[in-house]
Amino acid sequence: MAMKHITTNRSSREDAESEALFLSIGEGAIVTDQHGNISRINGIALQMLGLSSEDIIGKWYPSVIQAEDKEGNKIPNMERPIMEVFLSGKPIFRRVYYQKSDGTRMPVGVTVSPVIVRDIPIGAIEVFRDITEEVELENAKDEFISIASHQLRTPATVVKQYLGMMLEGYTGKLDSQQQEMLQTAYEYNDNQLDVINDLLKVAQADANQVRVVQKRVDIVELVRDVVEGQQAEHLKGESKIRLTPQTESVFCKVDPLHIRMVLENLLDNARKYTPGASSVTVEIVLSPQNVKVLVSDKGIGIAAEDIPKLFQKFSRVHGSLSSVGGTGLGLYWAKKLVMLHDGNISVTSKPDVGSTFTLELPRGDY
Amino acid sequence: MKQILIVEDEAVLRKVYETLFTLEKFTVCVAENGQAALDELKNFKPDIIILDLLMPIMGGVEFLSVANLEKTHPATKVLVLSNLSDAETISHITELGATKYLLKAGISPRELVGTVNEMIKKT
Repeated sequence: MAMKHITTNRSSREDAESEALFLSIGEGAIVTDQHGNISRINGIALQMLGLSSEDIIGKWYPSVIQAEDKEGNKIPNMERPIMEVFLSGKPIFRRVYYQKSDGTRMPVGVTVSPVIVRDIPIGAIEVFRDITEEVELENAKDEFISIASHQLRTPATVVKQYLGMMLEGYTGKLDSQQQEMLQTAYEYNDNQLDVINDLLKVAQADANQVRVVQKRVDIVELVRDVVEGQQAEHLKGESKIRLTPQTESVFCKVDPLHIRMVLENLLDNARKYTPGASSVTVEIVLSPQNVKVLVSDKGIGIAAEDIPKLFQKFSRVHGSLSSVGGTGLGLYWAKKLVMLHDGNISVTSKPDVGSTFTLELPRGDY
Repeated sequence: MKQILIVEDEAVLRKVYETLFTLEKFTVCVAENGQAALDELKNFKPDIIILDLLMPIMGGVEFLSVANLEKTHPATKVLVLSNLSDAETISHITELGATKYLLKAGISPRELVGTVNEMIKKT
């Protein structure tokens, strides 16, 4: 009897402790049983939703708290995070909009975890917080992207086109001084446009606004196409791109536009950092899981201590590299794009010998 | 004489392209959005349309969906000239009948004229 008494005491103390713990959670918290009926809710949750506990205790959770997506569509009951947790048995994080009792909407970050006692799921606990400020900040960032795009890019484009027309002889013959001045203005305007475009691309990538439309793409064909397209630019500087013969097609599921831009970025870098007449080699290497595209130059190379900085934002490494025009955003952005495809970009390099950048993509079952 | 319709909401860029193609001896017609372009097309059969994507009232994508150019202007080519580098939009406009896509900021006047002439020549 004494034993049982002690056990009961301990159990009620644990209950009290867990109740106190639950109530002291600094964010909205709701507990349900294994059917999704609400068994507990803390004061912060009630306050955020504008409800009283009598309104909802014992009721089926999806029926008393309405959830919507960003566009204001009701999330079907079976797709609510809590129901997904029941089905999968795994914790889940989602961003949804809750309908408050006064009819207003509130963006919330929701974490739902299954409650498991002795391997048996007995319910779920949901913790949610108001993320209105974060959403507003994101909207402001989106707005910045759009403003920057119109207010910076359009004027710079107009300047480029008019200078281009004068340089290309549309307005009559230029003397050598006029030619030189306009040429310099054109080049600097072009650099400015590069910076604006890179900033916008990075802002979009950082705001997770990059849409990836994956298709079945022959990487060999894509590489050949990019090399052909870039060859003219390389030949201007007396360098050449050599593509190691590769006849076999290799298919990957990627967004061809993104991978094209990444390859162009790597080839462009190889050209910029290789002085004089030299060739850039492009090689395709296959393994059962991956396809690797190796872009090797015999350029100025990168010091070992600078390699980790390469893929960081605004990473212009010191020394001779910084004399070459660039925004320090290209590789950061390229790596972000490739990672969206479950791929990677890596580099090996030796100063004054050259660098090899390796783009690696998963092959998939094609 | 070659005929071109320029659809662009930014007045200054409209002027840039109008000047360029006038100097290149095109008959130039301009429209400030997709709706205005639809109106122009009632009496104008251009060899090519230069089309911006993001425009108020009616954007380029909507214009392509409603213009039904394949039927109304089967010989007209469409060159989308925009700042949008959005992959989904690009594949979408190709499906809707745009022949080519170029980034506005990435092309010089001579290159633009070259592209336009080449597209028209292919007819």
